[in-house]
Amino acid sequence: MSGSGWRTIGASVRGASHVRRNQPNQDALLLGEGAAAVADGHGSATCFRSDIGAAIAVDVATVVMLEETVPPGPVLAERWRTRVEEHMAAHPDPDRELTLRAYGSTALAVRVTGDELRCLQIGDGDILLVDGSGAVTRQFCRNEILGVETESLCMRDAAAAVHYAATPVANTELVMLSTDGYANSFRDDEGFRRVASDLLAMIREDGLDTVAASLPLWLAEASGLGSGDDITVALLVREPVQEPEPEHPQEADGDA
Amino acid sequence: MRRPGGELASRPLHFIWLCDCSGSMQTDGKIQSLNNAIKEAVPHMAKAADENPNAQVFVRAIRFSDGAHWHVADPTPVDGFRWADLAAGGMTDLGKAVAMVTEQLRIPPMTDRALPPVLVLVSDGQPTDDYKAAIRELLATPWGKRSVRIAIAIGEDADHEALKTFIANPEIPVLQANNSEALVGYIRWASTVVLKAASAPASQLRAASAGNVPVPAPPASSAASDDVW
Repeated sequence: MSGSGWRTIGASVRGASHVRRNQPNQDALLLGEGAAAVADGHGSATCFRSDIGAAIAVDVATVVMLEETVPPGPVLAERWRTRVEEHMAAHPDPDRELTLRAYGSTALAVRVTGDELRCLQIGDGDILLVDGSGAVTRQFCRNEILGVETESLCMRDAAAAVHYAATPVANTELVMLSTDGYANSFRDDEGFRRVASDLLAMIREDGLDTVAASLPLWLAEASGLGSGDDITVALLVREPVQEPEPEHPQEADGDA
Repeated sequence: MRRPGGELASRPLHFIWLCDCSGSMQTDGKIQSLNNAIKEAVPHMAKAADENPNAQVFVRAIRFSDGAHWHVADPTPVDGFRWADLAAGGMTDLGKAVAMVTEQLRIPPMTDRALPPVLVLVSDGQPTDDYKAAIRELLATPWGKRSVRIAIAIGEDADHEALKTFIANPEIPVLQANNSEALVGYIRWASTVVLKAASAPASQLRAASAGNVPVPAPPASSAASDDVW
């Protein structure tokens, strides 16, 4: 998808362990013009409609980012709850109790408008920014999340758990959103962060369409050899793709 | 086209046995029953681990009596884990064993991408050191708090309150083994069913429950007429 000076691509793959257990992909992905959202449904026995919760999450998150409400947390949480309750009413289950938790999901969303980059996140997953030199920064540090824990849109205090940042785009060339199955597939965080800088280099060398075509295969390989979890990735890439910035500025030649 | 990023790897899952080797474990064949039960469980543990290649299971063991010592100190891949028999004699320094586990659950050496560790405590008696302080310290650490803790009581003299304090999760009962068959069953359950649950857990809401991983129900205990402990 193209527009607003940024192109968006993405892919979502069912996790290797979900394939073994005959479970569906519980992640969701939505790409828009200068915007993208990913979400990870919790997938536990009590979260048996979390694939639907994730689909609602990416939809609502994208709309909230378009509306530019600040802070977005309360609106995001409330609209997700409303959409889930509508789904519950339209699709009752005679055998199981339907609660918000059955639809539990994370949500990550990014939108670029003009000179501003807006990001929101509730729950696990990552938003990485890559600048022209290939340096990678993580938008939100989540040191308190460990193991298989996450915050969720289904929590009573979900609004307060939403992280939000609006920052200058500056020299950001690529933004990568991913569900936690991706980071959990790498031996260490440095190896995961390299994904973002490698992707920018690959896009510069081979073009965005080539990278887009290979993305599903890479994610499936990561799940198979790594976490086994569903993996979803969205990329926002500035157009036109810039040549890499030099790492060290050239010194001017002095006069003899 | 080469894949982006660094080396891919499955997630580590650390499984640690905490074994009571106090003097009372010498009576009625208890220590040998424990040795046999763990030895029997090892191939089943490896098979359970094989069913989820996305988790790499590492096994260790601590023995405690007078003080506590590593019985298997290095995190050992489950398919290479071999059990050497424990001997019994001395006091019941559970607290020291828990303190040693706590040190291993700090970051580092743990990483933040690990799966919740599984700790299985097997004991027949009353702790003789300050185990409560040690357990408080364990539960105050990020991975200690998120570990799956199981306790198996061998015989009627085991201190259930101490074991419940270790489990620190009202959803998980103390498992009472009054004969070797029951002990084998619980050891097998902890090292296969619980292991599987910890190795492929779904996301859990923060502070949703005392535990980080839902633990399936343990097997029913065997008939009372077989009780010898």
